[in-house]
Amino acid sequence: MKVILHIDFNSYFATVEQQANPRLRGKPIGVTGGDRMIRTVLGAASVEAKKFGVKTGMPLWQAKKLCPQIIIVAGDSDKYLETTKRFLNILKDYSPYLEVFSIDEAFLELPGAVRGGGERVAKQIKSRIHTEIGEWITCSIGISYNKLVAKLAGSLQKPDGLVVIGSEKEAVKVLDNIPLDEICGIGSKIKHRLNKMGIFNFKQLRAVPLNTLLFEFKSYGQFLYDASRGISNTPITPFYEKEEVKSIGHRHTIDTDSDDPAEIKQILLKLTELVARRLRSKRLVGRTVSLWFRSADFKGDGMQTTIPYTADGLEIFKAAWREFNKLWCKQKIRMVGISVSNLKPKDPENLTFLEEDLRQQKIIQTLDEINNKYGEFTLQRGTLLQSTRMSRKPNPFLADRRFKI
Amino acid sequence: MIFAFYLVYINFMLEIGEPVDVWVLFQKNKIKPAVFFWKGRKIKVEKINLIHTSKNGGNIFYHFSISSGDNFYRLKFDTTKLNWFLEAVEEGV
Repeated sequence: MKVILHIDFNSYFATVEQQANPRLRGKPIGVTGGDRMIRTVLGAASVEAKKFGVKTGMPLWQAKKLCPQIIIVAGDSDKYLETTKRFLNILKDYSPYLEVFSIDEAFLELPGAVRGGGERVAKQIKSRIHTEIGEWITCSIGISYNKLVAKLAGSLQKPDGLVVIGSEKEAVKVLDNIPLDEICGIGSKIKHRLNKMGIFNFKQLRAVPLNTLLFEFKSYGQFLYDASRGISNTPITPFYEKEEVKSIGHRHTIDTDSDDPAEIKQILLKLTELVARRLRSKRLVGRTVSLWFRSADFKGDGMQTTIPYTADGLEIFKAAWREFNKLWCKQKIRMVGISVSNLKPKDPENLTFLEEDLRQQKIIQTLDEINNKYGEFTLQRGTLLQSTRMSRKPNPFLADRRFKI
Repeated sequence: MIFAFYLVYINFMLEIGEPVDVWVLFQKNKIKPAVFFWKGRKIKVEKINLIHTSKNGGNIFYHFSISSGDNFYRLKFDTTKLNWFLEAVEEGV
């Protein structure tokens, strides 16, 4: 039988901040998503803050209402990525079958592990995290025979837990005592649909015939049928085989709602430049441009369009700006975002003999070389000189990176 | 209608970026700040809590989050210019 470990850091960003600064330890802290302190939400809450009901994703004012003494710390993605790299380096010493699930979660399969082998490795990992990363950083480890149940086991004891679910029989026992949305794959929408069918727990879900689930949920019915029995055949996807990125996007919440076309245009251009830089660094080109925004009244809208394959920020901007103007009714804007999908490798590409195209390519190449050497936006379009400061922040699910360990 | 305003208190850390003199140790193939000088004071590094790196273009920086007594400091080492900076300070009660 397979032995799979699910390793999940506890209150990750907050714990890393407490590790760096011992004066924050034992105190309720909230970490913002980036270095901005207004119009942002908590990227993480410390174990101490969670006791007051503070949760990840909560607006700052709401966290403050629940926990007046909460200390807000500006998020530092470099710190978290570096810690994740060290953590993954520890894990890869035990097996090459290492799947990076998110910035603070990983699966590790131990081929050929004997009985009790998983627990021994888990204890070693905990001890090495303590000595090699920091004494304040803890993780919960779940051990089981598949990814689904290992993740469930890991969630049962927090913080610093170690739970083993050794068989399907044990898994069913655990499933019968937890709500439906406790397992990965059943969110609030699926739960709501199940509830409407009169299914409120896993015992009731197991009683539903497979055909009924397939009729109601299409192919997802098979997942529900299996999950209720602790069955899952999803294999580990090792970090070096991770699928390449499917889309690249950025969004920005404006400090003060704006209906100034010049300001919105500037923000959109800056976002597209960031997207294009990432495309070029991965040697990709894309052709579907998606634009979305949220108005001051929190209503959102978006549209997508197709253009010839490109990694030129200006081309992407032109398409996005066209779409934006189709949707925008001059209302105040709170947030704007853009992404490029339908990606393919830049090479091989058709060479151009058109002088203007060659000139443009040379300009972009030179810009990239200078910005790679001296930093983002060292050299930029004149219209962006007075623009809002923006920087590339990693996706917490590390969706856009293959981990180089 | 009652409007409630909630102040959000940010961390009381002082973010600075002052160049500082640092005595470092090269120990077990690693660099470790041991003592630094700030505002006429000699501050002994008692514990390195976390080390992380950051990049600006081709420049790589090492950040050392350290403790001296009950105080917290963060030192930055610029690997290109071989300069040290005091980035953040949190002292006192």
